[in-house]
Amino acid sequence: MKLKHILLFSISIWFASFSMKAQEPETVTDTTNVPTKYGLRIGIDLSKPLRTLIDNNYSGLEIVADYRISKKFYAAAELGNESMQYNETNLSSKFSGSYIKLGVDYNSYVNWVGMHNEIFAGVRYGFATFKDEIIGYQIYNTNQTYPPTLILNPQEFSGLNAHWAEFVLGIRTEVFNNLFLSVNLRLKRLITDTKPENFDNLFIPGYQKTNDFSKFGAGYGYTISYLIPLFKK
Amino acid sequence: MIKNIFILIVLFFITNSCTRDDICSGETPTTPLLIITFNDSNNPTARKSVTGLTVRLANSSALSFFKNDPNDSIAIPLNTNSRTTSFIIIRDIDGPTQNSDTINFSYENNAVYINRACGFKNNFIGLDRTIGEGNDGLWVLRSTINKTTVEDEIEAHITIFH
Repeated sequence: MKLKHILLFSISIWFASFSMKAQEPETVTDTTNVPTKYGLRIGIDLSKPLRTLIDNNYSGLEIVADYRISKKFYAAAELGNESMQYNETNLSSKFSGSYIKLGVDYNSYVNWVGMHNEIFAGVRYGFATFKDEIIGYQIYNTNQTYPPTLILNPQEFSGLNAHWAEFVLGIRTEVFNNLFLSVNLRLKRLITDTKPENFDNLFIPGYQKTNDFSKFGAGYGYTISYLIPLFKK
Repeated sequence: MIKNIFILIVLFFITNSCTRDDICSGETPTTPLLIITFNDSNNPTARKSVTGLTVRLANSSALSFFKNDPNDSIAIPLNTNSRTTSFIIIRDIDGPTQNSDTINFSYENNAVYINRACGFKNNFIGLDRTIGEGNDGLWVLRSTINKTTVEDEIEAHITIFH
């Protein structure tokens, strides 16, 4: 009899504990309200000045900016200038100009209170105005009977432009107060570009190296940016 | 998640290094050779092989493209550094009916962009020819220009009747 009562008590406590546990998250709410800061974040792409130092044929600079428009979405823009020279045996050419990219980033990372890290995906529309220059070329000839024909007749094709779309994937972390580092990868799809007569855009500022056999390109960025905390909420 | 993104970044750099753009494919048509076919002067639509055919540059006796090689069609290079190229074409080089004629081609050079890896090729436009008999009479009786623009190697640009 005594044992029966003890068992009944234990079992009912055990079951009761389930219902109590289930109620816990509903009843306990986080009453502390840490304000999240946001505003305009501006910075530069570190990979471009670094590549300018390493690669003699390249020079470039890119300013990046984003602005939080909702809890998960950021309006993002990149503004830059690039020039690239190719010195191949068959062809020596140079491509230079400016570009702008506009789009949206979506942050999928849920932060702990007070942290501001992001794993983001985004889309961009890119537009560039640029010029192509032919410095010189050697006529491609599989027949070696005659000495190679070198043509040094500089030509310039200015006022060219290109449109493309980008898909961005990246991570961003706050390293110091309001200072962010970010790495991103980009998949690009060229929509249209104005072709120079009897030549091609081998490089488009912002889009980077083009491909003869596909409209797709790829890129990366390593940015440092500073958040100007305009709002706290 | 961070680990997966890191793997993705490493994969990106591995696959981003080399593309097929970098090598000029042998199948890409570049600077064309001049194609000449030899036809029978009595039956202009029929091919007629030249016995002991030898072709060489007029200003360089050391260089020959064909040596005692019976053929009814040849492909020879035009000089892209010049607006004229002269050849000596010899029939029956080691035989009793040996005869050499000169053929002088004139044209304009026109550079045409191909692609990133190959760069530019040269097309020959406004092709014309003059045929000289050398010092032993003509064996080339007539010739016709089928194409004044040499931009590919698909069809004969010139037909020689003998």
